[in-house]
Amino acid sequence: MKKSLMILFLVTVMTLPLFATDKGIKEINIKAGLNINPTATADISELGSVEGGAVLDGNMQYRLGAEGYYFVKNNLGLGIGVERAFPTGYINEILARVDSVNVYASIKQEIDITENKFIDGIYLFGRLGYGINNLKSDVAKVVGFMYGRNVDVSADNGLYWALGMGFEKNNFLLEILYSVNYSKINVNVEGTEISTDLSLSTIGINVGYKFTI
Amino acid sequence: MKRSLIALFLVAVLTLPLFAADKGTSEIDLKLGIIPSPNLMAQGNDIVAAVSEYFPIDSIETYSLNNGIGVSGKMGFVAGLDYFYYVKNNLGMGLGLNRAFPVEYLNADIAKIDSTNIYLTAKQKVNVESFLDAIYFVGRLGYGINNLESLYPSDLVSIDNGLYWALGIGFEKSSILFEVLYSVNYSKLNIKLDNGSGELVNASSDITVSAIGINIGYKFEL
Repeated sequence: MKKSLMILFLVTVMTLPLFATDKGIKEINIKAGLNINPTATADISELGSVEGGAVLDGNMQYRLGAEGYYFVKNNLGLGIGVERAFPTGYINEILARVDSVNVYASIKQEIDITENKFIDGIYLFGRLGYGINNLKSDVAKVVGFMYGRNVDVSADNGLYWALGMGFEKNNFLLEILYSVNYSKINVNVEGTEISTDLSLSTIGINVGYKFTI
Repeated sequence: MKRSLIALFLVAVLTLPLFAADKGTSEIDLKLGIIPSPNLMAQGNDIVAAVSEYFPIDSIETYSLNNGIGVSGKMGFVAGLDYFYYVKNNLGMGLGLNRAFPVEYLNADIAKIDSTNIYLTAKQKVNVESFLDAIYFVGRLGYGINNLESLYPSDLVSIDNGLYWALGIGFEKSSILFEVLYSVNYSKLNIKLDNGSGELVNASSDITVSAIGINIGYKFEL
């Protein structure tokens, strides 16, 4: 259900340029970045009378991505993007290693600024899409092996969103963004599965380069 | 030591306007905000150390938890006041005070934390030509007075005061302000545990409360 909605969204955004009467500028951005403070929050309310989540701090995470924008108005770009967030450890590399591939629709609003020697432009942007998440746990494997049980730990795919702000100078981009991947963590022991909601949030920094087509 | 440094810092900023050759404008900002999902984190290795002291099992100490673990809190509310003096056209330096009202972690009766933060602040404006009047970057550095209310008496479980910092982005339109801020309060959790034979053993862990906050405000130009 969620997947089909997302595909519909992407198709709409992708075909949008065809309906635009006034052909605008197109641009492609390539980006490399760092997730500064990846934080995994697991819902533990089902464990008892506690409310809220357990939070695990992650290591810094590297990212690579690309985006294409079509400017429907002078300052308003609509686009699609894909991003790879490379594996990072939570608490400990051997306990949980998570990586994601995010595919999203994106909107970018440029703001005209007064002549300035530092930057050419400022923009605000939002992303909404789908994250393909992958979780590996060596600890689960070891525990399973020790007790002679088949233990499997996995994470579901799910919604991805981000909000951020960017700066432009001579086609170079600098962005700061907050992003969230919604997932579910599944622990399967000999066919019996326990699941709980998991969200991965982070503040990230990107540097990028803009190609105008 | 930390306190005296901050006091020195405050004095430096307070007297700054006196040294400015060119008298600039100043403003007072009133702010109200929410913290949608604060996180309370402890340092993993501190926890391992505390647990291994309490349960002397050799194998526990071999686990290295370099990162923090913690709990997420319910939405919190903040009210605050900033004073800025513009040392340059677009650069304001000032002082601020805010109150982060009690936030519930886990359950209200288990842990409720509130903070009062006193800080130095700087605000760099960028003028824009659109529906907004200006965008600004704001930084804060100061001291947080932290308070824990819990199920346990405060002589058994308490938290320390400590450094506070925040970084954010704001938007100005007429005199209305809108800000998004990331803030951190550093503290220490002090616990006295009964070691089983009636003696109280001290355990402590560095803790941090971090949050993304959204503020709306109003600016009074002086």
